[in-house]
This record gives sequence, C-alpha cells and structure tokens, in this order.
Amino acid sequence: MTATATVTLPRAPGLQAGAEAPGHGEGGPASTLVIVAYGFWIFLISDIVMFSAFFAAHAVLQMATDGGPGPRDLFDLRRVAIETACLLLSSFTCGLSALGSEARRMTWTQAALLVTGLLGLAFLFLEMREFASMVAAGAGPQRSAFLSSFFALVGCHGVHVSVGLLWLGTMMAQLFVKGFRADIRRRLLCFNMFWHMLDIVWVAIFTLVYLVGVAR
Amino acid sequence: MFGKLTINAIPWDQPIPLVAGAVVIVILLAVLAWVVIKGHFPYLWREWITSVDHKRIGVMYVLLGLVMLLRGFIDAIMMRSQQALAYQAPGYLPPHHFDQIFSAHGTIMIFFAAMPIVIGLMNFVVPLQLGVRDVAFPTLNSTSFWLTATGALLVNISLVVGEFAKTGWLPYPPLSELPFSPGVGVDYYIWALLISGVGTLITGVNFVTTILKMRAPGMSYLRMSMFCWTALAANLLIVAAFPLLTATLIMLALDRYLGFHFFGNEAGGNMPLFVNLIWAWGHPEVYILVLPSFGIFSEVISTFSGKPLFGYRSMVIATLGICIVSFVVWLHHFFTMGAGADVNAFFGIATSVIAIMTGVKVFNWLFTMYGGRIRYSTPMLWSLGFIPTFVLGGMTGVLLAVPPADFQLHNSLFLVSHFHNVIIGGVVFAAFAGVSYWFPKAFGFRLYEGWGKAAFWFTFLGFYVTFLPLYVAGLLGMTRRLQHYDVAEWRPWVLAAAAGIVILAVAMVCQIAQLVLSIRDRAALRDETGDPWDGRSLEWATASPPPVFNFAFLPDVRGQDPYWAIKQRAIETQQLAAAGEYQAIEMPRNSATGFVTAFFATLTGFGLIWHIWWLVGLGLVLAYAGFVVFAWRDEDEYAVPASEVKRIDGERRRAREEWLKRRGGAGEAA
Amino acid sequence: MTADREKLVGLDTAPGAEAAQADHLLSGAQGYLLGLVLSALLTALAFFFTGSDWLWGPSIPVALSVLAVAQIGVHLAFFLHLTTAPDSVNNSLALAFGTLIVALVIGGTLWIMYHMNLNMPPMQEVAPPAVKAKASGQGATGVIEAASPTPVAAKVGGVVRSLDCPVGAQVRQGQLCATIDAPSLTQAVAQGESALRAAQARVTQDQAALTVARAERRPAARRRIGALQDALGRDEPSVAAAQQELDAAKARLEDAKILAPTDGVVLARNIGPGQSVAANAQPPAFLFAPGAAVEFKASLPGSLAALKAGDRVVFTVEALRGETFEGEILSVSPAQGGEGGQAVVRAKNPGAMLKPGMKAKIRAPAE
Repeated sequence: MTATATVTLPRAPGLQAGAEAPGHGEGGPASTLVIVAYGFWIFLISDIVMFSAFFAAHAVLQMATDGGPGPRDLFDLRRVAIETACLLLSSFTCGLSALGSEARRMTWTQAALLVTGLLGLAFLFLEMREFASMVAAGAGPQRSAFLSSFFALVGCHGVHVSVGLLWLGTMMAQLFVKGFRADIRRRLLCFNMFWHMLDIVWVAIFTLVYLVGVAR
Repeated sequence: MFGKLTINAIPWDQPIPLVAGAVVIVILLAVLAWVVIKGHFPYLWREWITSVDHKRIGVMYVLLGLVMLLRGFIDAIMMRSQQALAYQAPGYLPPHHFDQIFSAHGTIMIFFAAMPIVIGLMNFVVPLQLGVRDVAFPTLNSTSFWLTATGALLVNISLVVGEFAKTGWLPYPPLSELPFSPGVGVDYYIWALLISGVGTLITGVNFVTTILKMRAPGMSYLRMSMFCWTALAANLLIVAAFPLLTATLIMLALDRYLGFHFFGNEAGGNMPLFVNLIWAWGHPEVYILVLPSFGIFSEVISTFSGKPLFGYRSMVIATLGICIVSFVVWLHHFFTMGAGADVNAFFGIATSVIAIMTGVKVFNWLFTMYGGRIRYSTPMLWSLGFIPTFVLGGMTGVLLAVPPADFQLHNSLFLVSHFHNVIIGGVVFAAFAGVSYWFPKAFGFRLYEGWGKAAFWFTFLGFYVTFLPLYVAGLLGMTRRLQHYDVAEWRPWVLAAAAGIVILAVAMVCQIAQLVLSIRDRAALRDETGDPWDGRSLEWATASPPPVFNFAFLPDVRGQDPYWAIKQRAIETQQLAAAGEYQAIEMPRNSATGFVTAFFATLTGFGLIWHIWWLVGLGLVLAYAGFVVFAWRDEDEYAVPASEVKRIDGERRRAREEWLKRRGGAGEAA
Repeated sequence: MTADREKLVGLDTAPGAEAAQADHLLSGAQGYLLGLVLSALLTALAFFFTGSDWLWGPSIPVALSVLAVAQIGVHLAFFLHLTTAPDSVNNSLALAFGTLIVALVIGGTLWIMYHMNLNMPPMQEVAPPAVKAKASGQGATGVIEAASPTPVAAKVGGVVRSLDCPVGAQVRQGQLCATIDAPSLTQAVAQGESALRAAQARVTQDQAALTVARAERRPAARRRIGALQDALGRDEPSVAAAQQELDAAKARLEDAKILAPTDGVVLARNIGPGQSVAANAQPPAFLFAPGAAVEFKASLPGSLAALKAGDRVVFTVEALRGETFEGEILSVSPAQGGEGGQAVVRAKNPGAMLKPGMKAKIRAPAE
C-alpha cells in the first residue's frame, strides 16, 4: 500500500567495479527495493515510538486501580498464552510466505498468507472476547486509569493487527490479479516487516502488561 | 443525523468571528469563481493539485504557511490591542473569545505556519541539493501536504462553525477534559493535529529515506550541503517525536470521547502525565523548526560571503549533537510542576549544554563571514539580523534553564518574549531568508530588493519594539494570557508592545507589496541563467525554474560545494562541460490520491468533532477505497523522451553559455 | 546483477529481505523454524517463571524482561534478518536510534513521574475515590475506610535516612517503617559515652593514687589514704550513673525508628527520603489503618430501610469477587425521601483482605 512510484535513474557514467554501491556513500541512489524497504523500516521505528508512549502511560498508571480490580483479578494467563501462540505461529507462516514469494511459488505464498490471516483472526477473536468479558464484569476502560491504559495499549496493538489483516487481504487479492510484479513483491516485503514487528510488540505486551502485572 | 451540529454552531451573536468568517468566505468564493470562469481549473488540477513533484509541493507548502502566518499575525494584533485597551477596562474581546484567540494563535503559528514553511523549503531544495530527481516517495509527499492542509482547514472552519479550544496551544488537562471543555473546541484541535500529524510523520520518513539512500553519485555524507544535514537531523526528530504527539492526543481523545481516565481528576487519572508526554514531543518540535533554519542561514551566509562554510565538520557534529540532546531536555517546560530538585537539576544542566552546540554554530557563521566579500542582499540581511536576535533569545533561554530562576519567570511574559525571540529570530527570519533566496529558483524571476529590505528593517525594528518591553513586563510580574489587568506598573510596557505590532504590520504590508509588485513586473525581473546569487550548491546548476526531472544527467560530485567547482572549471576553460548522450527519463506519474485522501480525512475529522458518526464511517471507508484504487494502478511512471530532455537542457546550456561569454575568463570581473 | 553486486563495495540490503542465496524453500524455512522454536521456548519459560516460585519473587519482573529482550532479538535475527553485517548496518543503526528514543521516553517518563507522585499529597486528600452511588442509580455502595486510623508522628527531629511502608502496603505490628538520623539522639549517646569514659578514667586515677598511697611508708602519705578512699567512694557510683545515662540514651535511639503500631495498611505517608522532620510535627509521619476492623458508609436501599444500629449485614467488595463479608451497622442517619438513610457499617478484617479505598456494597441483612 506504499507509494511505489519511485524514480529509476540511469546509472551515472564512471561507476566501476570496486566503487561504492548504489545507496551507499558515494555510490549514487539506491535501488527502488532498498529505498521502499528502508522507508517502511523507518516508519516502523516511528510506530515503535508511538507504542512506547502507551507503554510509558501504562507504567505510570499501573497502580491506579481506584480501589477496583487489578491484574490478578482480571488476567487469564491461559488465554494470553493461546493468543501468543497464535501470533507467533502467524509470524512463522508469514516468513514462509516470504520464502514462497522469493521463489515465485504462487500457491505456497497464498496458502501461507491465508494461514497467517486466519491465525491473526484467531488472535483478534480471543482478544475481543477478553475485552468483552472485562467490560461485562464492570472492569471496562472507564473503571480506572489502570484499565484505561490497559485497554488503550492492548487495543492499539489490536487495531494494528486489524489494519494488518485488511492489508493482508488486499495483498492477497493483488497477488492473485497481478502476480509477482516487482511493486507487489515490495509491498509484500513491507507487510512482512509490519507483521513481524507486531509480534515483537506483542512480546513486550504479554511480558510487561500481563506477566509482570500478575507477578507484581 | 448531524450529531451535535446545529445552525447555532455559527456564532451569530459574536460580530468579530462572524464578520471575519464572512470576509474569508467571500474572498475564497471570489478566487474560486475566477479560477473556474477563466478556465484555470484543469491547469490547477493537472499541474498543482495532483502533482507529485517535490518542487510544486514545496511551493504549495510555503504558500499555505505564509497565508496562515498572516492569520496568526492577525490573532497577534488582536491580542496586543486587547491588552493595550484592557487596563482596568474590559477591552473589546470577551474572555472566552480571547482564550480562543491565543490558543489559535499558538496552534496556527507552530503547526500551520512555521512547520509548513520549513517543510516546504526542505521539499523544494533538498532533492535539488542532493542532485537527484525527487524524494523517495513522491505520492506520499503529496499526501503529506494535503493532510496538512486538511488540518489547517479544520482549524479555520472552527472560526465560523463552533468554537476553538480555549486551553492555550497545548491543551493541558483537566481544563481540556470534558467537564471543563464540554464544547467542540478541543476536539477541533485534536483532530486537526492528529490528521496533519500523520502528514508530517510521513514527511519525516520520506526525507530520512531520501537523504540516507538517494544522493547523486560521488556525494558521500561529508559532501552534502549543510542544509541537507540539518534537514536530516530535523526529519530524524520528526520520526522520533511526532508519534509521541499522536499517542498523547489519542489518549486525550479517548478520555473525551469514551470516558477513559488517563488524565482526569477521578479514578486514578494523572494530569502531570499529559504535560510530561506532550513536552517530550514539544521540545524536539522546536528543534525540528530551528535546525533547518540554521541550515538556511549556513547556505545564505556562505553564498553571500563568497566563501565556503567555515568549520563544516564541527557544524555537522554540532547539528547531530543538538538532535540527540534535544531529547533529554523536555522537563524544562515544567520545572514548577513538582518533580523535585534532583530531576530539575539534571534537565536544567542538559538545557544549558545544548546551548553550547548552538554557540559553535554561531561562531562558525561569524568565521565564515570574516575575510569574505559580503553582499548585503535581502537574504543576507535576514541572516545578519538573525545572529544578534537569536543569541539574545538563547541567552534568556539559558537564564530560564536555571530552575530557581524559572520558578519566578515560568508562564510570565518573560517566557513569552523568550520563545518569540528565538522563534521569530530563528525560524521566521530564516523563512523569509529562504523564501527570498530560493524564490528566483522556484519561479524564474527575482523579487524587488527594495521592498525586501524594507520588510526586513521593519520586521527587525518591530520585533524589538514589541518584545523587549514584554521582557520587562515579565520581570515585573505580568503573567501570560491576561485578558485584562490592573497593575499600573505594566501599562507603559504593554502600550510600547502595541506600538511594536504596528511596525510589524507595516513590515507585513511591505512583504505583500514585494510579492504583488514583483509578480506584476516579472518579465523585467527574470532570472536568465538560473544562478542569480553566484551560488555554490547544486540547485543553482539548474534552470529557473528547474525542469520536472531536475537534472538531465545526475551530477558527478567531487567535493563539498559541488556547483562551485563545476562553475570555476567552466569559467577557467571558458566552456561548459560536454553533455553526454541524452537518455529518456522516467518520472513518477501525477496522482489524485493525496488530495482525495485528504478530502475524506476532512470529512472524517469534521464528523468526529461533531459526533456525526455515519460521516466518520463513510470517510474512513472511502479513504480506504481510495488507497486501494491507487494501489491497483499499473502504470506509475511515465517517460520524458530523450529528445525532450535534450531540448530543455539545450535551453539551459544556451543561457549559461551566454552568461559565460558576458562574464569573460577567470580573474575578470564577475 | 549478482556479478555487479560482488564487485561493488557496501551494497545495502533491504531490511527484512530474504538472503539472496535462499533459493531452496526448505533451507530458508530452517531459519524461520529455528526462530519459532527459540521464541516458543522463551515464551514458555516466561509463563513458567510467572506462576512458579523457582525464582525469588521480586526478581521475576527482571527475569521476564530479560526473556522478552532475548525473544525480541530472536525475532529480529531470524524473522527480520537484521544483523550487524556491513550490508545491514544502516538498518541496525535505525533500530538503535529508535531504541534510544524509546529508552529516553520510557525511562525519562518513569523517573519524572515517580518524583512527581512522591511530591503529591496523598490522593485521599486530593481526590477521594468517587462514590457514584446516586449517579449510577445503585444505592448501598460505599468506600471502605480504616475504622480508627492511627497517626504516628516522628518522636524526634532529624533527617529521614531510610523509608519503607509505601502507601497502601500491608504492615505487621512492629514493622520498621522509617529511620531518622536524629543528631540530638546520637549526640546524647556520644556524650553519654564520653561521660562514662571520663567517670571510668576518674575511678582508675583514684584507684591508682590509692595504690600508690598504700605503698608509701611515710606517715604523711598514709594520712592521705582516707581522703583518697573518700574520693574513690564518690567517683565509683558516678560510673554506674554514667552507664545508666548511656543506656538510657541508647534506648532513646529507638525513638529514631518509626514502627507500625498494629497490623494493618499504610493509609498515608507524609515524609519523604532525605526530608527534615521535626518532632511531633503535623501532619503526622504516617497514618496507619489497623487491619483489625474497617468501616464504610453507604446509603441503605429501600428494601433495607428498616435496618438499624446493631443489625448485621452481608456485603460484597468489588475487587474481591466471589467473597462475602459480614459487618455490623454502627449507626443510621434518618431516611430522606424514598431512600434509606446513610448507614455506617463496621466489619472485622481478618487477614487484612479489606483495604481502604475498596468499594463495598451492602447486599442483604445477615441471617
């Protein structure tokens, strides 16, 4: 979904073997693939910084239960473990789809993407169930600052997963219609990075929010 | 059906916004009518609105910024005049109206005047100075601009439909929470900034990638121009800091819309948390504004002294040092909030440290001028005016960095004068320097020097007459944002400041006159060669304005100030370097994506503000559909044929050859 | 293209891209499989440590953080192919920059907010927990408070040397909550010691003089023995007295410690580390809520309006779902309108489960 209309440039005269490669030092502009992937990587770094603000707020507000329920009263670690397994496996299958895309194997790639999407959906389903049960028990985000920060942080991750699934569906459709064109492959690479980064953020969430919350 | 929106959202009972709004709407309709009747719309759509050319986008950014600078300045006139009249009297602006004015003044000046001008100049200049054809993501670039315009539009709509925030330009809770700001003002603020913040973040990603991964062959990092270094540092700060603004405003929005308790009084909310997080963004923000400004001054001072920049490496180190240290000083905006002596001491020391690196830069500029042949053109006057003004503002900043002093001066007019001192002396002066410096390159004709110099002198004088008295008033105890006051001691200083604003208004008239008259007489002011200032960096190698592809051949860079070397070689050999074989050049296609996305973003934002939920859903769905339509296109580039490249470049070469002949060989008069 | 790649120096790879040599699907999949197995292992370990007592309690968050960092490293290396090899340096540098910013934001926020919170007055005074009984349309809800909060003031003036018992913490009777560096007390001990030494020195001198005098054969010296014995008789008791004074001064050192008077919960703490305190200053250094009993005020819903002082009621507590508690009504204010009056309920608090601030709701009269 990134704008891939970057410019291909004629190689400047005089670039010989042993000179610096494109995109590095004196080598002139990098290839489109490197430019697109690096740009998306920088965007992911900015996304991590945004998550860190929510983490910081949660760290400050984690004791502010206003006399209400805290982590031990609310968190079901079994469900968290299943969610973690879903997301981790989906990262694995996403990697398999990247291999398939590199080898230009359409069925393999689409199958791996499909499994990734289904695992992501399973994760979201479990998370929505968790939120719903907490709200029903009177422990919704309006109950206390601790719960506000919990719902915002975990919810932000969930929104990212949802957007990722929407993106995934679009990519699968594009792949189906247009095949392994260069710009489609670049977008798949960006999606891969996004999906792995979401799992990285989830590692931080299940550790710092759920496990440390219960262990405190 | 329309949420909270009713016909009474229009301020029928408040004459000032009503009349102001009516005037603006009439002007807008007149312009629109002129465009449509004269048949300019297809041209505008094709060449500007859907353009993904960094040069066009840069011009639109600067135009947006200058128009909003005008609006923000009018707010300032209102504030100064209100205070001048409101000594033991109510003045003419009721309190709730005055509150909206100072909030809008700050918000507009920072987000919709200063940022767009700085980003616009970076947009126009950086790819040219790097010797490449465009930024890394041209369509995203267009999207960034239009999202910023959306934010500006929403803030301006609040003048006539509803109200604006009354919290000041940073909406501290609990005042900004629902119980104390039940209206739509804070919501206008939140959504305008969230939407334009996305645009700015994308710009940051775009430029970091461009500067790190796309430079002409031979241009290693240490051969980049100083403006590109400061642009890199500023864009790294954008990538690092804007997500914090996004997160914090989302938390405030969750509090207001869904009853969360991040910052409220009840249920464990923590109000200082907001102040902490927002300033963790807010401090890097001012460095985002000032670092490219420093870069502009480096370019201008070097060019108009006829010397390369002194101490290039130390400038680079100072820039990167400022970039990093700007992330460990943010608490100096809230020394008085109660973190205690240890914490205050650390941040106070760090704030003083950051001044050292700016000092290095000032000395380098002075040493650049020393021994050079200085030409006092308009851009150079702005740079010369900047140095003492910014140093004064910096010194008052170091004074404020001492926590015990800050306890006396926090939120007084001393503080207000300090930050206006550095922002006007730093950013505004740089904006005018940059605009007057690069205007010929962008449009192919120069601006009248006389009007430009008049604008400079009136601004310079007006700034000091406005803000030096306010320093004194601050030291005498006058706090900021006062709608009225009754302390006799302050009165003469407030009146002096009002006189200053009149001088600044004259300056503004000079700027407008300069623009209007230069456009009228543009044939006589044409820039024939593309190098009106005897420049040193690569943008001066192109024609004015540059062709869409910037360079027919990517330059082969051999050292710092690459164009200077090319020019000297041409003068010595009395001929231009041989042109190679012209190739077809692929350029990115125009795209309406940016404009369409921003249009739906405006609908979504307006719906969120007024609780028109179906409009929100519709806007989001249509925006997504727009992405998909854009992502589905098969042709994203078009080729400029080799013959066309040869023709365009031929014109440039002919103009340069003319100039070379007139100039004569090395050693003869320039 | 590959040939060109080899000849050119410093060609960067795109972040996340597969290595160019992975042309066989299965060999590439090995890397991902290894990453998966390692991540799963680290995750399992994290869950295991949380629930077990293999690790010392307070160290568990540290261990979990280490495991999380390790797993993130596994993701970066095996899934995102991020390395410090020359072709990936730019990508790693970008990540390092982001990590630095994250550390500054989170670390800075925690440091700043911790100090802000320290310097805020107790939340009880600033924003008492809201009782939303009327607003939510549910009566019978009240906030638990300590039955008879016990203030404990500092007994001596000085500087707070160490501080424990944060607000809300459970404490045992006699638990050490603060020590004060009280110069007056330490000086008293020092003076007592030097007085004792002086007294002992005088006694030793007298004894030595007496021994010398006894060893003398001249009648003049022997006449002094009586005087010397008198002196010794006067000085010996002063040693005991000095010892007593010293013991008393040492005992008063205990005043420098602030101990929890009963089992219970810390309601408020009004001193900070390094702060100067005066003896018996107000507000008192600590406010303890004896755990033995708690009280709360709630309006009686219509169905229970007939209850009066001395009746027992069953109530539940929001934070402790699944439990019921019993308490006795101490007093009921007169009923107004259709609502029952405000009842004050006192309940025993075995095990100190009920903490001040919790919300209690009266359910029914006790059988």
